Amino acid sequence: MKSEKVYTYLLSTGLMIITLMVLSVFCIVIVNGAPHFWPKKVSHFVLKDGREYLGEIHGKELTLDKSQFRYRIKIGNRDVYGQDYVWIDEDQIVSRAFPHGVIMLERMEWGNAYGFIPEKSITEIKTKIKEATRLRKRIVRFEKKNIAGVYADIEAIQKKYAEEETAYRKNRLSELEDQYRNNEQILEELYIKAQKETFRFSLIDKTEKEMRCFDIVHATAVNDLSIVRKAGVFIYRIGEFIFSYPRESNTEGGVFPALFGTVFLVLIMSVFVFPFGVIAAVYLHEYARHGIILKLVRITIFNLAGVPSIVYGVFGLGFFIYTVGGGVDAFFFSDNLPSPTFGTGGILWASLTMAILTLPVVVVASMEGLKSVPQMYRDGAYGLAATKWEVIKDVVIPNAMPGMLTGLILAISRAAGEVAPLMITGVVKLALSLPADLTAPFVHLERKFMHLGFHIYDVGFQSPNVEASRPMVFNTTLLLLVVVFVLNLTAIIIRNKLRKKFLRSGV
Amino acid sequence: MNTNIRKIKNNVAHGVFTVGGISTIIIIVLLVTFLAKEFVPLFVSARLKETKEVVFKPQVSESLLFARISEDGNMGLFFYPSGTLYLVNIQSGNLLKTWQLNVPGKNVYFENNHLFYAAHKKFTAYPLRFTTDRQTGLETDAKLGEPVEIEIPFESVTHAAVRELSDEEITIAVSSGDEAYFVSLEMEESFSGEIEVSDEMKKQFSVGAEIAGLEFYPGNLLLVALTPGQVKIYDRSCVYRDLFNNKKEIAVMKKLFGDRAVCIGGADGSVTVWSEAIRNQGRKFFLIHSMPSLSGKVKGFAFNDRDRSFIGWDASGLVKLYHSTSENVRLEMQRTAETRYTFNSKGTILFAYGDKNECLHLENHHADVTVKTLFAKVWYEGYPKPAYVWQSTGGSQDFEPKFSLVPLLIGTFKGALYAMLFALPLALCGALFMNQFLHPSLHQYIKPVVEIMAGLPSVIIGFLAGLWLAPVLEKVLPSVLLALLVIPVVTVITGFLIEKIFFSKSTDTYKFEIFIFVPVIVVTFWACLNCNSFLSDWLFNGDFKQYVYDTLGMPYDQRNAVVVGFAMGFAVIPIIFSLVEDALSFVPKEIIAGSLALGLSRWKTATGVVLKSARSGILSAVMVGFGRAIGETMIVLMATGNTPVLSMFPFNGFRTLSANIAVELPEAPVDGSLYRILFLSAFLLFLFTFLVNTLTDLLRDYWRRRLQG
Amino acid sequence: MEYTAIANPVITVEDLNLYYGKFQALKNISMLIEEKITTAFIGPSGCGKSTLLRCFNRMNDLVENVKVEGKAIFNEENILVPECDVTTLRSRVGMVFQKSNPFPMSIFDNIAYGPRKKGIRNKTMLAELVEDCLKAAALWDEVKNKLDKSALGLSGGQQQRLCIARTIAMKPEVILMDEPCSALDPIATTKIEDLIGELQKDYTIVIVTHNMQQAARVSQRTAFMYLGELIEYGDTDALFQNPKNQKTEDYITGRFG
Repeated sequence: MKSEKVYTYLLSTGLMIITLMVLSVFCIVIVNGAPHFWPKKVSHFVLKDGREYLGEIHGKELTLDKSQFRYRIKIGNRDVYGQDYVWIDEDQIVSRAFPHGVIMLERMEWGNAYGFIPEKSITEIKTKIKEATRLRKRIVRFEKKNIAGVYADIEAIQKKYAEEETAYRKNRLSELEDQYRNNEQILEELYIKAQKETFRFSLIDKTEKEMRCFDIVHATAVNDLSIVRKAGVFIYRIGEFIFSYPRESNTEGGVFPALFGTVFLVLIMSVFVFPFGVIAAVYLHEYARHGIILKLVRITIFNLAGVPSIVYGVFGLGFFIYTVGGGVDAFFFSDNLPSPTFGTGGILWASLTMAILTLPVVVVASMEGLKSVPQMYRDGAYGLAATKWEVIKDVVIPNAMPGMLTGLILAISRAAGEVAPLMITGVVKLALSLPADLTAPFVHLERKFMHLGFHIYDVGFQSPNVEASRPMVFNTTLLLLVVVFVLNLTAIIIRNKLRKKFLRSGV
Repeated sequence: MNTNIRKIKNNVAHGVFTVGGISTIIIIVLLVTFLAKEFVPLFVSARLKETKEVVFKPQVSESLLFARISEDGNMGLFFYPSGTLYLVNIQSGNLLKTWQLNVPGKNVYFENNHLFYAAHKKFTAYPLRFTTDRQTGLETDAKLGEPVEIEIPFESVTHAAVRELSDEEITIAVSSGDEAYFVSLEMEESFSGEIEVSDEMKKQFSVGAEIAGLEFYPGNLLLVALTPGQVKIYDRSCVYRDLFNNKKEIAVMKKLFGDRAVCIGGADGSVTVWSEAIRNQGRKFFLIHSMPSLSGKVKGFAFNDRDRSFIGWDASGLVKLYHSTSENVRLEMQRTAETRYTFNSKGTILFAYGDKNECLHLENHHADVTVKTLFAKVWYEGYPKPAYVWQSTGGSQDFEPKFSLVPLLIGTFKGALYAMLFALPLALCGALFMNQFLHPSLHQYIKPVVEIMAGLPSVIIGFLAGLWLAPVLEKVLPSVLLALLVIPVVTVITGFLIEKIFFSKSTDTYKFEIFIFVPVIVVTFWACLNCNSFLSDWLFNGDFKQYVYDTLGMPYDQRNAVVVGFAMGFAVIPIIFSLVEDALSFVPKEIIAGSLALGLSRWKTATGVVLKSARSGILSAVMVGFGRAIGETMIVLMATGNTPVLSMFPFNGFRTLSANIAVELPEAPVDGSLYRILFLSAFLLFLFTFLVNTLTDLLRDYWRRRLQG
Repeated sequence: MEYTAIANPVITVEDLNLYYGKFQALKNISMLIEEKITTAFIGPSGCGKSTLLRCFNRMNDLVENVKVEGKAIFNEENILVPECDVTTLRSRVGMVFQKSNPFPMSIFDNIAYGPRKKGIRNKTMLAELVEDCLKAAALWDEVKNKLDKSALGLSGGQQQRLCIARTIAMKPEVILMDEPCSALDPIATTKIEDLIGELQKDYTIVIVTHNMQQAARVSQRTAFMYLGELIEYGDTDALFQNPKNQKTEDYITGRFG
């Protein structure tokens, strides 16, 4: 008897370890990611040999001979020092302080800079930076609309009237070309204006550097922030992370295009997979009589669920991209050949591939939902002279809807986290334009896109500067984790409610 | 009446649903078809698409000495014994250009875009190349350049080999009978504009037997094949170094495409391929391929500039299209004994000349892939022995692709195996405990945890494994191994103590008190981690990685099979857990009640009766878990180094079929061999999971029916 | 078989045989159902009484592997042949089920479901119809203030009356009731039985019950079935007081069943 209890405790260990593993994943991601948003104080180190460093402490570990600790300091100013981080042994430190007035500059390139600005000019410089930010946005808008837009018009005209040299074409072209040159002029002036505003930034080693306001994203006096202000910065940075574009080859800035790509991908996928999955489930549950076809379809669904996702990717490449996409190109976009329009990876094909991948999820959950609709509802409707379609439409589907929605949510959560098939059907590390925007026809299904999951893989493993991008990846992971977690939780809650309802109606 | 409309709607709906339902089958059929469509061409043998006799408009009475055709097969250069060189449009037969060279005799060769001949103690080389039309990109013309002359000690030569033949350097070897002559000259333009020839080296030497062929080989070697069967190797200063023995009388020796192997044709029709490799610190030539023999004395070989396909023909007129890597005969033909052959550079057109001039259009795709090259050991050029190697691309154009799926298959199973080693005990214990010993009111808290675990994207697991776990594990592996041993012991002891001291259990299910083990496990684990440096000092001489290398002879990779085992185990646990839990719940309550009523303890009932009744359900759960581990991509992609090595060693990386597809497919040229092989591997993955799933389905079906009676 | 000559047969059954796969559930049934009276089918469980009832509106179609032979003539048309339009048939032969099965929608929508399918969209017409039907089902006073509330909030007896009202809304000629009171308490049962008494003035009612007292209370004709055969069929009073067949007598005296 006693020994049996021992074994029981052993079994329970299995369950506990599993629970702990799930918890630890969340902990690891949160601990490694979230603090990145909290403004860190900048320390000033004076070393025995007289060197001085200004930077954030980013780690502490035993030295190789294990005699003492050493600090990893992010000193920034990569353009000056050539590197972001330095190691300082503890016994080298003479003094360490958090000096007032340290300014952290977040820049468009070269990473952060730490240093000082004369106290009296701080407000003035901050206003200038704000102006410069507005100017930057204006330039981006201008480039998109007045440069790229006009260029596209010129191309369209050239293509449209390629055969004949009409007067209209000539006039229109010269008109557009004038406009183009004009706009280029304006852009040039804007850039010159952007160069103009500068300020002196003194580093810790008393050297001074001329900084252009145009290159600065934010200037923060990190050591002088109150806790409330720090919280404000924290929230602001989270917002910036979610809603802005990446900078410096994805290692800084935000992940908005990746988030947008992920959402857009699952939306298009849902449009395909939901009706199809529901139809297949209704067929299986309501129409199919026991027989060879039903058995085949069942085995198929079961099998589709077990096929490795990469196989779907390969299929998507061979079927959607090269066969269907190639065909579409040959028929509708033959002007652009040999450069492919739909005959290459794009969000439509990726979504379709994902739709097939998640089809079994929707079908199985929908079947679950259909099973939970009591037979007597169907009988009642038949008794009232409803046709089969009316029974399904009025009684069966509305009652099975929670199950079907659960399926959709599970499918979305699966698709949001699946990366392997995307890698061969159109995901890219950096997409210049979103798959949906304000230029007609607004939705660009042929475009390549970014994806949170691929972003993690790419920035974490393919990035040239893995160390610098670490917080970025952990936070992207955190974002994806939250998205998938929320979706899953919703599905679980809906499912449990459905189950309860099913139990009640079964009494 | 609207009855009709309702009926029509009803029928339409019926149609739509049926089509929708059956489409799922169509999807799987499409899937199989499109995968098959891409990989089946791999196994299609070569084919003679079209044979076209070429008739020259200007009738020439002489028989052709040698011919050369352009890349697209439209132009041909034809050389006749009288010394006339014609440029002919092969399609129309029109003569485009004629050169009259003062070339007596028959010893005319064409190599490295040079036409050369030896006579009157002179070796003359003309640059001769097809020129392309700028606009169409087609070869429409040919250009004969100024000749270079070198003095040689022979009146005429039987064989010649050329290594460098440029404006700056000339290196040639010629032979006559059993005498060979080697010359290497460097030419420099002086300030005055004159060309200075500096004698680098000149050497005449006897090799002791009739020479059957001369070839330069990388590493500044000169190979001299002797008719009796030996091939003598001379180094850069023409000092005899070594020999290898073909054991059969040699008729022809030619360099294979890529220059790293030579093809030897025997007098008995044997065709062998030799390549140099390092074995036991020494360089040595190995017989890497014995091709299927021709029937008579080998008369010649023809090569192309794209792959390792080549033509061999013999004295009886038999012609075989070989591929060296796969040792495969792609095509066989019979022509007359006098016919000779030349390829266009793409290898798509074979020009046969002799009695009759013919253009043979070949379809010879994917010659480098056979079942053998995919699944058996292959002796690659430069390798000391046959091996399973996956190396799809190399630095240069003439790289020999190595397409063995074996390392990938082994890697796939290795990953899955380590994952199962980790996942299976945890999932089984967890599911059994939850189903049999945990109070049902707690199930609603545990199940969502497992569901959330199942929903974790594999990219997140892979990322954490590769970027967080791997570097951490590298430092603390000894203590983690210790923890694996200690944690079960500690939990058992704590359980006993709690029961003894605080309360004694009367029921056999557990409630929240079971969570007391969470801090116990955490503390134990933390304690183990703190022992790490002590442990590695004590057991592993302070450095675990070095210890592994010293004792096991394999280096410790940071991203290795153990990391993958943890990570992929993480992905597989929820699958096995839920399926096992399902299977256990399906065991009828009456069986359990009956067992308990017979006085068996809860434990005996759980392990004896319940596990036994559910065993095929559990087996199918394990199979599904294994299937999932086989196909998992992102985790292995991120948590291993993706090196396709063939080893089951736990501390090195590997590459799986799925990761291989993800890594190579985006860069694979469409419709190339690699592209199709990747489709084949996708198909293999599909086939494997399909078999596992269908089997599982049947097993579960059978088992449920039996349990229900 | 003897019984009082029937004046107006609504349904004529001739040589009806029904098979579930290989099992024969109904054997050679021939009978007439008379207009505007209540006919009760009684018999032990599994005797085929529900199956027979479900033949009259072809609800058996929903069961797999059913094979029917013989004729059932309704409105001069054999309703058992595949050509017969099931939808029209079911709108003329309504059905109330053993367990009340209102749809999970409002009371109003439950009753308006059938008429809407028939093509009635006019709101005032629908409102009148709903009111009429609820009044006819003696439910109006109880629910008139909560027509837009979910029907699932009603009590069991109210739900069943709602189902009857829902059936009436189709304006059928025949109402089939498959043990309508088996899940109800005695008070609710009484209300339903009273309702049946009212309804038979306008509708032909066929009711399946295994409660012999109920059959005696509500029906004018009773058919006793046993193992798929129609053993005895005749006036209710005669059948209960003076059964002609030994099996009938054994059943109504409680010797088996």
